Amino acid sequence: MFGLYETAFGSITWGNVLMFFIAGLLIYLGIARKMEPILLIPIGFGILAVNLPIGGLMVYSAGGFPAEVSSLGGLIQAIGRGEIGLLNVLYTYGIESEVIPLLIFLGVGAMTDFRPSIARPISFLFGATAQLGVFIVFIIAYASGLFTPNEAACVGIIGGSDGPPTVFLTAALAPRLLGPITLVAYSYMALVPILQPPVIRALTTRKQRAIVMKPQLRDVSKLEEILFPIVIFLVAALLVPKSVPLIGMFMFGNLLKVSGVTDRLAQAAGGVFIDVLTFLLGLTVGALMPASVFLTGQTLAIIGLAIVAFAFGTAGGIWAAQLVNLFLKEKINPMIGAAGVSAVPMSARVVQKMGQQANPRNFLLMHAMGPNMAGAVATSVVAGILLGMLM
Amino acid sequence: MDWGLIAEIAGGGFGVTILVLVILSVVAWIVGLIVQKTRGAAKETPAKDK
Repeated sequence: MFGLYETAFGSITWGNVLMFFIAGLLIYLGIARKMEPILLIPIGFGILAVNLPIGGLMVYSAGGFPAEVSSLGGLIQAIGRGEIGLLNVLYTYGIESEVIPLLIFLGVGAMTDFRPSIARPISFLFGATAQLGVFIVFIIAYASGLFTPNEAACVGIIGGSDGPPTVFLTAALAPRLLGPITLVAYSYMALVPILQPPVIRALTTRKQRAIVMKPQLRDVSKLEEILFPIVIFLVAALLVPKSVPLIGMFMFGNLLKVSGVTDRLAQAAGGVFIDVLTFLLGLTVGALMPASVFLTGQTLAIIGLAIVAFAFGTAGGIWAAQLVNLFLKEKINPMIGAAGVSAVPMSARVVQKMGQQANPRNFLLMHAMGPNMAGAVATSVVAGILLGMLM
Repeated sequence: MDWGLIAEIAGGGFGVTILVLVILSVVAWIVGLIVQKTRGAAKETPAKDK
């Protein structure tokens, strides 16, 4: 067209057009509905970038760089020739190398308050049993024949409801599915207030939901707060060595917060630092979704299986709390087990809201935050276990 | 379909997850207990001196 001048209109496919609509929907949800805007807006824009033919911002290739690069000079030349885009570079050096998800987890640690988990260590049990969804969905996904064992594990870990471990595991085991899995994981985390209540209602009686728990947990001393990230890191690292990158960054971030002498670092890590990394993650992940990768049966399956993962994760936490209640004189409200799916702090808020509906005297938020935080630790442990088993 | 693999990863993986998190909860509980006892003892000592 027009001699040497080239437009991209002739290269657009119906798949690209459909992806433009999906990108528009994500950007709309982010802006108008304020659903995870820091992620959905960049993901939507990344989808636009990769689906524009002859774009050059992201030249999609399933196997790393789309062009042969042997040196830094070669990389710069390839970028200049338009064979490699900026987002290719961000993906390879930021996500494929696991740098961005791990640094995001550092920021998450710097924002996390573990006092509810320290005050009630049994929270860790609920965090563990809430990983049930990960393994149930692993079985279903693998048995469906649509996914390899590595891919099935990455689909399953969506049920852990924790972004960085999901990205970490998927970048290592199934990078081809990183786009759809990350999109579904973060979207469903925003939908926890819709997904969890029906499962909680189905598995608990109104009497159970109305169980009142004392509003105050015991005081946690500063020394306990400081020792917690160090000891948990050491023990988890020895038990599950492959979880060290995740647990290490998570606990290091938390140590910055609780040490009392690195407040500026903690605020930076939990502020602009994590925001910048999160939008880079979103933009790059969005750019991993060309129509040829996203518009497949696998993506539809991931969307369906993620619901199953959330449902069984919620159920696992509730069942554990109901089991524990058999042995306790002072009963706990079994709904707090549901917060073990992580999704901080949405699932704890769901429990608080449902507890108030069942009994207005109920204040479950702090009780639910314990399993909530423990769930984040549990998902990191699960990612390490799956890596160890499948890599 | 490798059902042995499924059993190993789903059964073994979930079992190990529970075990690891139970160990972490026990460790957190013991650390809390030691710190509370130590602080309790430290508080009591000056009171006796008086």
